[in-house]
Amino acid sequence: MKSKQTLFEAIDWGIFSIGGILAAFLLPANIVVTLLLQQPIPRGPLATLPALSKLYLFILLVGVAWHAMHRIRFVLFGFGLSRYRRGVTAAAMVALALIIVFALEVISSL
Amino acid sequence: MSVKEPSRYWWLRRRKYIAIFLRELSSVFILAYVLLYLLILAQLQSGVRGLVTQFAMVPFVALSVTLLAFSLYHSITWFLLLPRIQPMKIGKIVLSGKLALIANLGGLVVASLLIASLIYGVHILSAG
Amino acid sequence: MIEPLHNFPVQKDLVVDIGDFMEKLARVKPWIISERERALEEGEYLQKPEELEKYEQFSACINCMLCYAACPVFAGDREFIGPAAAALGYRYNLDSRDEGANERLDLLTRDAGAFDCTFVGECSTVCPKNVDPALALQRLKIDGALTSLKSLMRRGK
Repeated sequence: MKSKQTLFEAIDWGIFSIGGILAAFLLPANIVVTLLLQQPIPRGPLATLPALSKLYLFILLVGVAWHAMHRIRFVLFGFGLSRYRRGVTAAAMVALALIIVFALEVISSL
Repeated sequence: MSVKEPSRYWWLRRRKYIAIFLRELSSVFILAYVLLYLLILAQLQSGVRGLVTQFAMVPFVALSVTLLAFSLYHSITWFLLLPRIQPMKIGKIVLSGKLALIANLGGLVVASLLIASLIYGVHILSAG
Repeated sequence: MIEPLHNFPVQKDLVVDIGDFMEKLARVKPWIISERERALEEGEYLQKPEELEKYEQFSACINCMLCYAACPVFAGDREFIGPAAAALGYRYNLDSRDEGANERLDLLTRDAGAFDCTFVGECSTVCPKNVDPALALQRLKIDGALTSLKSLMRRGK
């Protein structure tokens, strides 16, 4: 008998973990290429299948954003904001939703 | 009789905890990268002069290097954490913490080369 | 420097109030939960050495509270279930004689439960008995995530 709170936290943590793996292995290269080498648009051999590079971007960016938002939320709890748990969690989820929508819009029209 | 307690955030004054706090803080920077990258892509599409050219070069490079530094710190601390839950094995040999870190960093390098060349088309082996 | 244990209300000098800690230990139902009462004639529970090994390290806790004193999450949120209580609950979930793992897992993964842990890891560093409560907490998160996934898939059917 799983309570709804547990279910939510469990799913959030699951995606956080996946995002963490993506961020750990893929983010440094992305930063170097897209910011330092100033090549933000995928132009490699795999990018000729536009769906693939779009999927890559979406999964990476949303995964990393989710991972970051989870950590930020719990840092806030650790600084005493846990008494406003519902509010902080709601705000984090809204922010995440906005980022996902933004990402969908930008990436799909690449 | 209640006594005034010492600060709850006593740990902010200990090196070990600061290292971990920085680890958590790295998430703010990686989130900043996600937003920055999406903004760059959005501006490129709308034909507006990209964020890149609107920034002066030096602050932009400084920002990029900072984001990269925190991203690497995130990766390294992540690689140090995971073997504590599930020890890394090659065949039957269990890798120690340091070896596991090196193995994962190796994976990071391989993944980086693959992403750079296959997705972004960066010519890794170009003569210059 | 000699000071009272961190993160606990100080009563006087070096004496802290351990009531909250004791309540949390009891809250995780640290006993064998059975579906039905065993009759005396059935004899004692049998357990193989490999079954004991699974939970043995987590049963070594001496309730010294050093882990709670070291935990920055508990410092900021006194509601957090904390390392010792989580490790104790996990010990019973791993015990082959116990049948209450689902019940315990659910109460250990609620608000201010295992998912509040940010894997600082200091609890395990300071533990004098090598219980490794940090490991217990991460495993509880994994168990919690997996059972939630399973229950979602079952609902979908």
